[in-house]
Amino acid sequence: MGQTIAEKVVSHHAGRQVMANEIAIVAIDGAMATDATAPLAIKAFREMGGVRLWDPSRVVLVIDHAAPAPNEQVSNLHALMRAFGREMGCVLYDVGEGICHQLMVEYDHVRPGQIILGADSHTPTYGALGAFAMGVGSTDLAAAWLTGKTWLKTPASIKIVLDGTLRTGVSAKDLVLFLVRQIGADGARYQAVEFTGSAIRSLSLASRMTLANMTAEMGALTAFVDLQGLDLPYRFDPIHPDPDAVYSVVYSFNVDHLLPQVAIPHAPSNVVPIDEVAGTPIQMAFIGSCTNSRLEDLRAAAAVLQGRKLAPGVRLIIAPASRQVFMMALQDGTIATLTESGATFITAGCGPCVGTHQGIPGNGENVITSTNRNFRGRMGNPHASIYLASPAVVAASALRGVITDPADVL
Amino acid sequence: MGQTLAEQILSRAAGRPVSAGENIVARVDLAMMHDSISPSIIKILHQELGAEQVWDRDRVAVVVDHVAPAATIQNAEHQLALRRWVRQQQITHFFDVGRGISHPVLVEEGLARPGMLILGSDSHSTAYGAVGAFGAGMGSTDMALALATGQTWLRVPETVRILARGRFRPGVGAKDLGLRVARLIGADGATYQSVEWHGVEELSVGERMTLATLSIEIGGKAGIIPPTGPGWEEHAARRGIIAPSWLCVEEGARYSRTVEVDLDTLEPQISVPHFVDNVRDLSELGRVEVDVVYIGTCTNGHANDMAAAARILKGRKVARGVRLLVVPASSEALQQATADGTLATLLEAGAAIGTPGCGACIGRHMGVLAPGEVCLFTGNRNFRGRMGSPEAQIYLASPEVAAATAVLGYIAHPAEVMR
Repeated sequence: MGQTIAEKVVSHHAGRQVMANEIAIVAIDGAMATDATAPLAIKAFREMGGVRLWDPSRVVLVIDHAAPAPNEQVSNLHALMRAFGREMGCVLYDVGEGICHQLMVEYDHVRPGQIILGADSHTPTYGALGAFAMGVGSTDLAAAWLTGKTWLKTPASIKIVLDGTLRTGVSAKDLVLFLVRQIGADGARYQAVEFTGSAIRSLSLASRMTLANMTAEMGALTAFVDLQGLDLPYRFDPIHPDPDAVYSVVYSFNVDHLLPQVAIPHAPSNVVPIDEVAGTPIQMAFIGSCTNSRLEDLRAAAAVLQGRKLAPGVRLIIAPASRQVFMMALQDGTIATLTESGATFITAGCGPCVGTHQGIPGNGENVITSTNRNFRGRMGNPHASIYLASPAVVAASALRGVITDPADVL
Repeated sequence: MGQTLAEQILSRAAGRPVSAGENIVARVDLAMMHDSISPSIIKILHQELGAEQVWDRDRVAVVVDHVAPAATIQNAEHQLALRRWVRQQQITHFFDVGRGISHPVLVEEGLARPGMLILGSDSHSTAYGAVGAFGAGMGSTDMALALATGQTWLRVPETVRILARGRFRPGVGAKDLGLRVARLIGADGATYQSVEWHGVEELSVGERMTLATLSIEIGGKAGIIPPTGPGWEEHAARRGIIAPSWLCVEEGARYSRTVEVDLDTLEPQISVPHFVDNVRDLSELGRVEVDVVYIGTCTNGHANDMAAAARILKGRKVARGVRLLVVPASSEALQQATADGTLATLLEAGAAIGTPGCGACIGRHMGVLAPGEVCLFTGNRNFRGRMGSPEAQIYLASPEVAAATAVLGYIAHPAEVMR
């Protein structure tokens, strides 16, 4: 019987033929933890009697969730991670390097066909590179640090076939918001989502990361974006599903007429086409997160804001995905364009996405953001309302002070 | 008899000639408040003083800089209330998250000008002396009263004259001069006095702000640099500012004291924990390894400070295990650093860049120190607990020393890197 991509990758790492719903023990290729999860993993690791990592070169710690430290409690956790990193000799990216998922890809810690564990729910992002990447809790991660292995139930797979061409001003974020609406917040629970179709081929790696990233909002365990059309600086053999692989569902969409999409409060699956919310006033705008803060995202915002000023009373906060993204945006003039429009930069990292610092909204404020979650209180204040959208929509909305289709300002 | 600069400014503000020691009621030219203190000022203004409107909406500047962007719901609430108040009062000069620290912003905007009396809800409001203004920090009640009436009362301060002679050696600058003076006269050496800085005509307004802000660290009521010399003229020409002719250093002005500093022999100065006036020559310091290097604040986060650090960091990397945080003093400083390549150099060296504003200077976000951490800081205060844990150690120094320290991992002379 034919296999899905997930079944193939799990089989390869289990050393035997494995099909959906079978439990397997697999060797892993890498493990990532952030300042939100590493401290607990370190504690669990010690409790398991851990003294050394199975392979320090494959263990990555990233200080990104509340960086630089907003309070002494967090600064203590950062200090704990640095001490652990030194002691174990593993890889550590400190304050200002950027968001964990971005760094894993930028610094080549992930390759097609690998299994990567991340103690962060948006770990499926690496599906953009055809890796089986899944979020785990701190205890599972600690066990993997110790053994280089983990257990999992091989997921069933959903296939999403996307054909057509996205219109100008419509991006991977709009596409994935649309898909989260179609599939629902639990529609892909514990499944692998395979993206394929002609619409994928023209997408950049960054856009593919956006797509894979938000499968977490469908409940997915992991995601695979078809590697066709992707240029990588090394040779790789793309893993293709067998023609007779079994899927729990197959969706087909044509994206030709897709409009910008907005997730309205308080769920990422609560998505509407932009014309249904256009005109809603906003006070804060944020471009950042592992979903949308790469160079193409900053450029999309700059294209909207070029030579213009933010609406009075609106603050636009931008957190580049990484130092490298920041430097590239600096070199091509994107930073200058955004700064001149009135945007404010914060340190590369997660910024206010998780509500720990650097831009907590006030009571009753509306926030439009390029991030991935708009649950009540997500950005630190349960009395604020969060709207999710693409960087172009965020920029256009910051320009007008109300939720705006970029097509109306470009 | 001649007048000091403080006497000249306060004479104009009082509408009559005044001299040191007199109590006066003076007209305020500009009142500044920031997000940290504004809730209490607004409360006193409306509830205790019963004022409905500020005296002059064009002469009030409001800046969100202390915890910006908001780090907690409480910050967010205060800032939201402040924005609403600004709209309700129709305040002309409002600067939101990311514009930068109040003091450089008011200078860049041309709101702070020579000869003005400027009150600020911030102790480093002495900064406005960088452009020849009498800037003084005040508490909430005094600020509220000034907002209500446009007036304040003051005792005209005596003046300490600082006389710098000679020229700075390479790698030595305004910060070292300021810390040297703190060392010479102590944290209370100029209590409630005006500090006049002479012999610094060459310094840019950014460098003058270093001296003006450090004036409060020796107890100064104000810290004034005469608005003359090439550094001033560059600023004045760019911003279209003309210093009033009545404001000038006069023969026969009476100084309580003159403190001379020989720049020719001055070496980098380091303020060691936990007091600003606990200053040593770098060569006396011994080896001090650091965890964090922090470049920023109203004292040394200006464009010239970042550029000075970048000259040393160019083509070099931050030492392993050390993190370098750079927080520009203002969006204009950030824009300049973007345009002239400074920002690229800092990022390439490994710096993390923060939002223009006060950053971690007051230990409320963006780089709070953990117990046992050692920080080399270009700011103005190293009191125990200032930047977070009371068990952290804060050393104050110039941006040049900061850059050299970031590269080597221990507090170092810039020459150690540049040679």
